[in-house]
Amino acid sequence: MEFINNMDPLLLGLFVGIFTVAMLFSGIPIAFGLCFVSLIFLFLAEGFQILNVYAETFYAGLNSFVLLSIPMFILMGMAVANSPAGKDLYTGLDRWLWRLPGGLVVSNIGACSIFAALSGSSPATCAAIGTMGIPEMRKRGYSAELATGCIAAGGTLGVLIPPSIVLIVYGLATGTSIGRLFLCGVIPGLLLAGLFMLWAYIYSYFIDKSYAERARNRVPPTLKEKLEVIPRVLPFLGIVVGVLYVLYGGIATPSEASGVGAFLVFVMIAIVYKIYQPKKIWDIVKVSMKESVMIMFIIAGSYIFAFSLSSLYVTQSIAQTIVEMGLNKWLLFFYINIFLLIAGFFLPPVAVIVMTSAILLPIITEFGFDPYWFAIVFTINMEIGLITPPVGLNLYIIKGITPDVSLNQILRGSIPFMVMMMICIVILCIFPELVTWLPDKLMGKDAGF
Amino acid sequence: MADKFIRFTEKIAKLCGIFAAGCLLLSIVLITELVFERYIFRNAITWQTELVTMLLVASTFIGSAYVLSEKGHVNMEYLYSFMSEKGITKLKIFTGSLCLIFFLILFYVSFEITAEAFIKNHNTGTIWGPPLWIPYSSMLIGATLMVMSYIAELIKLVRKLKEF
Repeated sequence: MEFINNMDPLLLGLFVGIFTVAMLFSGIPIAFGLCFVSLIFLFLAEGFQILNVYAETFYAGLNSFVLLSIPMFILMGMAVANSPAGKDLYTGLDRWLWRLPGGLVVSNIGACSIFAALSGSSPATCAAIGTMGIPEMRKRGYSAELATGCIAAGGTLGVLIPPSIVLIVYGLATGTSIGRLFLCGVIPGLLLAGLFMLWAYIYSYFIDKSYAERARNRVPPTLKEKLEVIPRVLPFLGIVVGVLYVLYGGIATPSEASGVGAFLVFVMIAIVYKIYQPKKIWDIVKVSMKESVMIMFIIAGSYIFAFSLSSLYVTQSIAQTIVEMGLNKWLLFFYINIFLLIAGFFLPPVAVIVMTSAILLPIITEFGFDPYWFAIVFTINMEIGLITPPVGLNLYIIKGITPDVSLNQILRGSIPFMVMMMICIVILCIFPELVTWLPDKLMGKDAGF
Repeated sequence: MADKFIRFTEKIAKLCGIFAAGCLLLSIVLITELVFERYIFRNAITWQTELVTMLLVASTFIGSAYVLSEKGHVNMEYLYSFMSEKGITKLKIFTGSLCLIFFLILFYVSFEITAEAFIKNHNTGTIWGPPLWIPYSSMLIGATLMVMSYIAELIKLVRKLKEF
């Protein structure tokens, strides 16, 4: 098919782009849509001989030991989410933090951050904390908007605070060190959690003033109540610390750490919550498998999509054209953010990363940005996409938990948190050390490059 | 006949779901074993990494039909909210056919590479070096199941369309 090969790569890129968007809007599963588009364009360019290469590349997209950490971290999170651990974590924080203004919301965001450290996925975090947290917040008189919005936003911490599926895929797609990426996410994750709590505080103090009255009416938890939750929460915090230590100490690879982490979580829920019956274990594995297959297929689809773009020289031409445009560094960065934000509205984070990293990374490094710092900004952009329609996974998870709250209310509740995320991106642009300080301190400046 | 086929496909998809979940469970055990072997007994790792990676690929391809039957593959349903029930069914028939075409092609190409690896006796080229057709066949099995699932899905959709 000569015409494809003679076409200007940029024009071809535009064609592929329009075709892909149309395809995805048709409601085809995203993974298969990407596979189909790449197959069509590769076939048009190279003819029948591409078919065998296609099959081998498709297989190679999944055949990686590093990817194994994804289902393992999913299993780890699901095992905790399907045990009463989420509830205990939540009650524990509430009993300790009840006196703070916006206390219950702050506890929820805190519980999300801690759960995020056990799970690498955002919807899993939403489901685990929200199932318990949202009804409780509403019972205590918080508005439906705030209650759902804070969980939608809190859930996004799941992909920023390590472990993180999004950062694993970024590391794999760009050849950066996953351990270092994880460390980079710690401080921005906590910063974002802090900003979320700040909004909860502002809301409860200045906007919804009836809060103070409700807080006065509450019976304070006794010391006994405060202490009794600790032994049930500690083992899980132990696993978090253990997995992180093993990873950053360079003792084991992410896949090994996640596998052992998953094993330990299963042991813990068996000991602490007596969850060892084959049926219950089976349910956990089954839901994890569903999520893992879905994500892995999207990764394979995006991988083959990226392969076809680069075979058609679209990737290289776009990157080169942008570099040659000679834009101002920060203006370019602004455009990239807008682009990622829009892409995040329509596609799951892992797909955006695999599809665009080959285009974006050369540009980013050419303009002197740090690829690790960029990973974090990238991730926050993707998180915003998770709480905006039409593919905002978190919104739908929360809608599932609270069928009586409309999607619009949930969205209204999450908008202030979205603003906080954008503020967080700006803060990280002004102080890039917030991202790089911790890995530099713990791993040395050059480690992982 | 068609009903029998649909029921048969659903049953097979469920079995495959069990297989895929089993692969993940086995992976946890194998990785834990690997870590013990490598860091506690200080032995060299020969086959574990490769085997768990194969299990991951197998779980993804073979579990896909089950995930499809549970509507677990994420898609964008944004346009559906502007369409009539009949329009949605038509659109689903269209996208289902595209998926069917894709998986038919994948079935064909994975059959080619699996058969070639089998006939030429290729192995994975590692120290352990198991025959390459084994991991490749998970893609073939997965594609076969997806073809069956999409045929069953299309039959159901066409029936639904006739009811309008």
